[in-house]
Amino acid sequence: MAPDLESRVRGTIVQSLRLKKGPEEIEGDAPLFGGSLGLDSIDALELVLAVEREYGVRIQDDAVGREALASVRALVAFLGPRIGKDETPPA
Amino acid sequence: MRPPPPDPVARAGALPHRPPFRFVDEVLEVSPGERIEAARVFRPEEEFFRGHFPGEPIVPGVLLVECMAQAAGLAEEDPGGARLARIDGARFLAPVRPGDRVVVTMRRAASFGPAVRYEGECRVEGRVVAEGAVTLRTGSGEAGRG
Repeated sequence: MAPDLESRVRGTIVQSLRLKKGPEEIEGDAPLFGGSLGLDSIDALELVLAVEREYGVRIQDDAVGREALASVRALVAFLGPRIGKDETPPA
Repeated sequence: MRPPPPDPVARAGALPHRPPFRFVDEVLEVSPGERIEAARVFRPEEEFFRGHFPGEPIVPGVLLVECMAQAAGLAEEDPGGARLARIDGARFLAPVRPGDRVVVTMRRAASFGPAVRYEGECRVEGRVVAEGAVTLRTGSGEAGRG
């Protein structure tokens, strides 16, 4: 996976959730929510909106979101093939 | 849009909030889970006007935010289970004075799991006096933050 996308995703997470740690301090495979970062479902919605705003990729439902937002690497894997593709049907 | 409920005042009572901290008097229109229009009259005798401000009573902006949050809660299927979890982009554009009737409109903008965001505005006589977004935590999932 392109390392520049991963660092961009780390930046999105840190900025949109106002984390008090550096982008590189988040473990790539650690759970983003319900883990040591102390993030909850309110933060998850925030990240869903940030992803849509910054990458133009929509997370259609909770099931997709749970998988896509599982970790930094899961989000990179989710976004990689979708960025720049207008595959999301209108709401 | 569902027709107005038979008793708009009773519909507002679905919230757990009670005076002096109830900021929706009546539900004018509701499409559950999507949109709501509700109203609150700020009566001249309300206690906070004495201090905010002496000689120039205006409704505190935070109470308009509460009005938006309570209206959003009433738009949910289970108003009693919704708790305010986050406020974004609140702006206060014009003063609300004693006797003003505020009409608040909130629209569901996004949701994920138990988190639901509503966006909307408060109007007095058609003029927007406040706007903002509130995120509610619905259901009996996680405990609130505070």
